[in-house]
Amino acid sequence: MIDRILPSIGTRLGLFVGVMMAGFVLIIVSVLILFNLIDESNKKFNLLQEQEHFLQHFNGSVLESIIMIDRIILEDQGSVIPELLALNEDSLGYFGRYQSAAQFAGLEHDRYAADENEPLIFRIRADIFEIASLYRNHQLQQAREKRLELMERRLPPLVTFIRNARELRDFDLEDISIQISELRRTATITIIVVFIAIMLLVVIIAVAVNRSIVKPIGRLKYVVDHFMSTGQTTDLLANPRDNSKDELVHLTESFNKMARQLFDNKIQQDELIEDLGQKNTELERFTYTVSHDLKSPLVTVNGFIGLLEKDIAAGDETRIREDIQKITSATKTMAALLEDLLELSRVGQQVSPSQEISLTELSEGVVDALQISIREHKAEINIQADMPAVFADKLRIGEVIQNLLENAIKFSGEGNEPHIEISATREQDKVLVLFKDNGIGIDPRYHDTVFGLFDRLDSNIPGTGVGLALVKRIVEIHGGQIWIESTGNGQGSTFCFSLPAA
Amino acid sequence: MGITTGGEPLVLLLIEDNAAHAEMVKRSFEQHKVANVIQHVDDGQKALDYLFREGEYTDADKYPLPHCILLDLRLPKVDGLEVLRQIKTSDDLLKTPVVVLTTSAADKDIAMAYEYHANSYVVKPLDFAKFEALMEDLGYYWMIWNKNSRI
Repeated sequence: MIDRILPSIGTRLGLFVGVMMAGFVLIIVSVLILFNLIDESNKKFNLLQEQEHFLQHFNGSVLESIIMIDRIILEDQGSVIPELLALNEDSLGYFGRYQSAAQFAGLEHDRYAADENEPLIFRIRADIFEIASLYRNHQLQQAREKRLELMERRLPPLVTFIRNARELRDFDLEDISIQISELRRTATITIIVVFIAIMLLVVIIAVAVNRSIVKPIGRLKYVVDHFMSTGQTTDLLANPRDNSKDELVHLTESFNKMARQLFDNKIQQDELIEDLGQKNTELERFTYTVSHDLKSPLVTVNGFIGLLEKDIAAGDETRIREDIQKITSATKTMAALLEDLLELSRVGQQVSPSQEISLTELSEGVVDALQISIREHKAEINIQADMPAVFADKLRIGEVIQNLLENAIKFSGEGNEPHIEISATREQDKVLVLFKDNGIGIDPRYHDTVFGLFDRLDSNIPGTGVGLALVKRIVEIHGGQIWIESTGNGQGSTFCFSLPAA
Repeated sequence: MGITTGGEPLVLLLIEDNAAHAEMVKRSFEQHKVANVIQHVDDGQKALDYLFREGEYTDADKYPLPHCILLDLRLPKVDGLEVLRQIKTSDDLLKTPVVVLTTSAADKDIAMAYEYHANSYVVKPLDFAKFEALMEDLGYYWMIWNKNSRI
């Protein structure tokens, strides 16, 4: 699925890495935020504690001041006056710090209460100063009255304020510690949830990446290995992931192309090697037969010259004539061989380009050219009137017709008047040509050997053994095939060959 | 008057498609009177028919089995090597010496001939004096000096 949404492996890998990085950033940021919140709550908690601390000190210093006033006024201990004044300043200081701590902690009601009670605090401070100053001036009566006033009128609201403030402290502290523990719990849960979510996402993406990248690579590797070991491309061509278009699919396509090309090249190479091998065998056979068959008449010529000398010495006229006849015949054989070989070597290079040929017209032309031989052998030749046209080299096909006709006449059999039928039928893109004769026929054992170079079935009938080799060569050069249908034993034979249709 | 061994006429089978060469061989042998009878066949099929007494060669008196065979390699219908193979795989014929007499001096032919157990391989010399000398030597060696197995 992922390979359809994101067609590129690069994008897929990018997404994978991106999601992982975003996940970790998210975790870090959320952790930072939560810790920051907790930290602030802690600070607030500390401020509250500090505030309480100042409140206690304030409370303590006020109580002590009361005790000192009692000692000065009731027990006449004037010596503690400086101490009282110092304590008086301290308590004011504690109050001020309590007040600013409330401000820092943002405790509006605390601050409000403090601000409201500030005049009272200053009044008490002023009262204490006044008591101290009255005592110093020995106005004990006034001092006592002032003390009474302090106790009855100033202290009760102060005590109320302190009590309320302490209650508020306790309430706030409890409140904030609940807040902190709630924050801690939220932080832990959030981190765990975010972590699990990201891990899940990473696993899902990893599985998807694995499916869309790693598995296809493995498959590609298997297929490449398979191709390397067997040279078969079949598995490779059937890639099931053809609905996606990522780099791997392109790679596979390229590999398929390469494999097909390699395969085609291999086939071409094999064909070429086979072709060259055939040509080489043909050439070897050619040089072998040439050396053998050309040497043969030379042996004859030399031999009969030797015999001729002897026969001349013996004066045997009959033998002399025979010897000369053998020598002449051998030289003629050699000349014919050389000519036929030249002809055969020319066939390899097609002299004229292929053209549309009427087989009927061409056959009639060849028959005209062979009139003398035909009349001599009293041969009857029937040519089908409307043979299909072929696409071939006219001169060469003429040679084929001539050779087959001459062959049929040559092997017509003793005292038998040759009767030859030439016909043709079209079969798809080929034309099948038939030369049917009533001659001696060819034993099925020799149907292949008659086409071999210098191969002859009967050494008593003149010939070089090149004619049918030439015919076969010409037909094969035109991409056709040639074969014989004959049962032998005088039942005649049919030479069949195919040529490209026009 | 030919030389005989134990009253039995010496028979040579000449398997040669070239009529002129056959005559050269025959006349050389006539001159030296080595063989009593020279039987000549001009293609591979006739040679096999002769040796295995088939076709027109069923008459054992008219076509006696040879004491020595001269075999050309390039023959119409059945190749000389095939004739040689059939001789050397036949229990009745394998002891008959076969001398390959051919124009080919190709290594492949020589190797194949010996692979098929030819007893000797000689190339027809171009020079006629040498040809005659060779025929004489072959006749004396294979028909007279060489002892054939009688079992």
